[in-house]
Amino acid sequence: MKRTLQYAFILLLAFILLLAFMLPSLAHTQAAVRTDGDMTLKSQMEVLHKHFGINFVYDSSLDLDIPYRGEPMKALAVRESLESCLETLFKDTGIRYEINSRYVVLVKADSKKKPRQYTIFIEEQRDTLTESSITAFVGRQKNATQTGLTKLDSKKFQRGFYFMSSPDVIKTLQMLPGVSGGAELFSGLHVYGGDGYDNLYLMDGIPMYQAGHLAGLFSAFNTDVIETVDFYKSGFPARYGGRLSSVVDVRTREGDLNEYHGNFSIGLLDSRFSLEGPIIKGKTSFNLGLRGSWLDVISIPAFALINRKTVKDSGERYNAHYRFWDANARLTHRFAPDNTLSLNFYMGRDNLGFGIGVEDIDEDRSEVTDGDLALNWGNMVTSLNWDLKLSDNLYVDASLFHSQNRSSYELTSVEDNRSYMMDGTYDRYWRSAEEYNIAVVNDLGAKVDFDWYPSESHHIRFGTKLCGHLYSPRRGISVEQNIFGRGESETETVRKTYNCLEPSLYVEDEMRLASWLEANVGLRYAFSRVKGKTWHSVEPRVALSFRISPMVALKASYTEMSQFAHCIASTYIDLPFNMWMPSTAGIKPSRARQAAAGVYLNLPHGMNVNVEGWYKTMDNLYEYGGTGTSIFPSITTWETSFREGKGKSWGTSAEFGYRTEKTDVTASYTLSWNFRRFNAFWHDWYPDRNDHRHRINITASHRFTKRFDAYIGWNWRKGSRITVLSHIDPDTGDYHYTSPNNLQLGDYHRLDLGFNFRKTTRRGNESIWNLSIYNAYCRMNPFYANVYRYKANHTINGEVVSSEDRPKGLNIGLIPIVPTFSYTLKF
Amino acid sequence: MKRITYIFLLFLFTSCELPFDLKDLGDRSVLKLYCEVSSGDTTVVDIDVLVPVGDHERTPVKVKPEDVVMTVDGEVVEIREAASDDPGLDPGTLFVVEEFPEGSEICLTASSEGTDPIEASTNMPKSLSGSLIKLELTDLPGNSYGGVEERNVVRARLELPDEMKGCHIGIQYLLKSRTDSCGVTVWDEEYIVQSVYDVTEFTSDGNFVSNPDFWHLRRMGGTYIYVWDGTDDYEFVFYHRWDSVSEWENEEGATETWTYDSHFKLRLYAFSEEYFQYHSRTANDFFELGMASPSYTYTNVKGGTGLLGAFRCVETPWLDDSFIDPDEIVEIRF
Repeated sequence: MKRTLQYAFILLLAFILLLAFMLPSLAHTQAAVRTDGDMTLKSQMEVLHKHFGINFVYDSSLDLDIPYRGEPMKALAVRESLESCLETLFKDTGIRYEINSRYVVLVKADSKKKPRQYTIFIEEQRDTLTESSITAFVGRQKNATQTGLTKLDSKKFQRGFYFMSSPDVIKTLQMLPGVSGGAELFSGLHVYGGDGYDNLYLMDGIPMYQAGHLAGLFSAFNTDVIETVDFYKSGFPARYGGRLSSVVDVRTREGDLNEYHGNFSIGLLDSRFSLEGPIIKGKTSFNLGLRGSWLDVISIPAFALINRKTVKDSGERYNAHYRFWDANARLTHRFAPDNTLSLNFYMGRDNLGFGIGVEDIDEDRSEVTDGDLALNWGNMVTSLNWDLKLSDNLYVDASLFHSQNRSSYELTSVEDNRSYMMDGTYDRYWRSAEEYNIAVVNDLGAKVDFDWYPSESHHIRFGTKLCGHLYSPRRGISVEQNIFGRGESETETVRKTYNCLEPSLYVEDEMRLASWLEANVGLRYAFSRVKGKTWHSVEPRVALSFRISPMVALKASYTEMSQFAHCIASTYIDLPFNMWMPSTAGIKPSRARQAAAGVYLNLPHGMNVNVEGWYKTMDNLYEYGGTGTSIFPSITTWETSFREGKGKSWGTSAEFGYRTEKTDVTASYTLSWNFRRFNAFWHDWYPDRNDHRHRINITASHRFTKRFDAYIGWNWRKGSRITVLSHIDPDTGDYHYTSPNNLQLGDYHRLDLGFNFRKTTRRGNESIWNLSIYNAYCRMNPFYANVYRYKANHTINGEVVSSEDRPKGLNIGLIPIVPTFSYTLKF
Repeated sequence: MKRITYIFLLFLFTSCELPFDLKDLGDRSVLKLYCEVSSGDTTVVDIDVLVPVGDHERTPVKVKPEDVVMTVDGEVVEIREAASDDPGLDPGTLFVVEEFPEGSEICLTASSEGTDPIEASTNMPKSLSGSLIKLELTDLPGNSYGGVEERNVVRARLELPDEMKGCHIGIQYLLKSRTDSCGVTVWDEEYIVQSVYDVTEFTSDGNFVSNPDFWHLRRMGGTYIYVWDGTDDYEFVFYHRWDSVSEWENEEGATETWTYDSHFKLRLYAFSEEYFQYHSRTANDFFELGMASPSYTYTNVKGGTGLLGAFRCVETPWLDDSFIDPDEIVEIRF
């Protein structure tokens, strides 16, 4: 095994070196024969964006696809200033430009609009312009080749509604069409019929196993340090792989190279702090984000008050605490505009503790019992990333990374019982027991991604990744006891270790085949090797975009995705008892095949309409069948407790958007079907628990004044599915389950409100008071349901003469209205 | 202790109950079948109509023998209805008198007015003949836990014929004992050792050990049969308290004697896939919250619910301490 790893690593390294040395020369050759006639204004703007780090802001009606015949910007930018480049680029194009800080605003040269002050809401709000402009969102779906791509920037998360006082990435994604959040409040992400554990979460390109705090109540991403989030529901480019259903590619922001600034926020449950700025002005910067909860401040005094009464009454003492924190740090050094080294770090931890103590003391005996449960879990991601321009048309992004997911629990109990004799001596029974579980996954690897522009019509990405996974769950139990002077002890541990090697290669070409046809065609190959068993995966990816007119695009895609890692969970909640395990000889990699197609329209006046449909099949899905009634999955028998099945999902979603400088409205409707089939326990297809046939989401935010903006969001969907007792045996009175997920819970609907009150402090900083209301009209949406028996009494004249068992169905709602507030100071 | 996490989570929220219409669960009756075919010659076919909870006062139509068809390797076998004088069977019970050869395919179809027809099949497991149980007295290495010297550890190693490797196998530990104390004799007649307490030490504290990795054996559902699922490493270790005598002086100064005399036997099972899966299904506390796999709804009865499964069983004779020598391995071949 060790030798295989060594060979694989040497081969991979050789391949990387070969590419690194051969391709620049190849690229030069290609550049030499390139015809400049393929260049467009847009492609040259992209070059300037990369070279100078500026963003273009423009009206979407501007035609930027017109050919550019001048000197390529790649060459010009090396020796000329930004202004000079822009002058050359837009000469005789009828387009006027205006430079403002990091933004270049483009308008038609004959625009009659009067200059007005607008706020650019593509980036931080402190930047203002003195030019009439309407932002064009870089990530507009029409402009991307892929179906199912949504690009979000940090602004999207700051629209006014903060769940539990923090903006939340996952809960924002849950509002997108085709996405279901699963159980209320939790950060589930069920994309196009997928499950919660088959989303690829990337933090600066490095996979993370867990994307939530407190069983998914809060997402793990701190929006203060996020620059962009690319969310793919379909049409996955070949550079992504390893999960079935979606890609959430989170990119953190590089620190400001010239100025220090940051913000501080304190909310009802958590607080945040971020700071960025230069270390060496113009060359080296940092960006630091910290976040932590302070529920302890509430829980500790609350339990102190409770215990004052319970200790007095019954000798019982309780304590509970929960806290989470996470930290993001990014150090960036620019050796040159196209030569950047960055060190990225993320760490998040959750701690949940619960304890019970009982003291029962009499004159002749004492019984003291203490029990404590401690749960700790979280992720750590570290990467060293080098972005380098190898030649005019070849860029490389190389990374070394380590990613860790760790969860543990420790259960301890101590009993000390004494019986006192008349002579003052006592018999003693003392017992101490400890049970622990530690599940750790360590990923260590390297990856290299190349961006090659052999001509204006092709953008070829290729790369490779070598990743070693070390899955190492272990459990232990120890008991010590002293019974009337005789001491005994026993210890037992169980440990499993899986070394998994998972290399991958990909190549994709984003090509313009004609002015109306773009394609992204790619292929990904990966394999996973564990304990002598190798699973191979070849994954074709194709996305086509037909631009019928400047306003209308038709797109279609077909992708195949594989997932080698499986989450063993005895519940659907993201609990720290869950463990990740690899595909083994008995457990196959999961596989998804998905076709999607849609129409994407950019309408005048900032409106757009997208209609997208999909069909998806999933093979080798696994449900953990459990061992006994324990919620702790077994690390020794997990393979035989997995039930293998498959899934299929299809549907369509329609989305309408309206965006102006002040207003942002999105409305979507999703019609979908989602089924599972697990022959291991049911002989037919049955509806998945997230088979929400109809979903409607409406969100709107509006800036009323400079000081006040508001958000409103309403969503409605058919309820989730649950398995309940459905039939009675009349002879015995026994209740029976007759099929899985046989009840659809009542309709789910909820209104969220958010208000931002902004103010400028005397020092010129912006302060924001946010008030957010989750579930504003306090709809107690069903969380689960059950069929219960109750005694129905028959009475005559008020007297019970007989009674009988009757069934009753109850929906149980748990989440009421949740108002929260926060205060943010930007400096 | 193991439930405190759920309590804590639920503690965070208030709750609200709203009734739903039970008719949402459908209005069709379904057929329930429980038929566990064994190596004996009489098999009960327990088949009834279940009524929907939304119409629980509905009177179902009784399933008649002619509504049920059972075949063994394609040959129809007669379904009988028990009369009042049939021993051991309630009147009206459907049953089959048939010995099912090993590996035979057993199919059953049934229909009844107002229900969908049902269909189920299973295979009779292979014979356990040729299986070997080796018994030896041993000790668990590294353990100093109390009581071991009083209750010897018996290791039962099971060797199966090659054709049985990978089959679902189970073992059951049965005990009978006699205790004489102060002139009083107490007989514990044959009984199946039902709790894990008697089998492994750690699991003796059910309130504490919540982790299946320390259940040295896995119990199949409510059957008190300890099972292996598909592996070929069959080993069953249990603590058996051998015969013992103790004497003490009572308050009057007389010598009292306490005598314990015990016997045990092991029962070996082979299960069909369906029997094993049905009895191995489990539901944790999150299942009822809709937050765990619905695999607990296992059935192999298409169109209805329940089980058509099969098993075979062989057993050792009653054994006592004179049977097992501490220096020898005792072999029992079936």
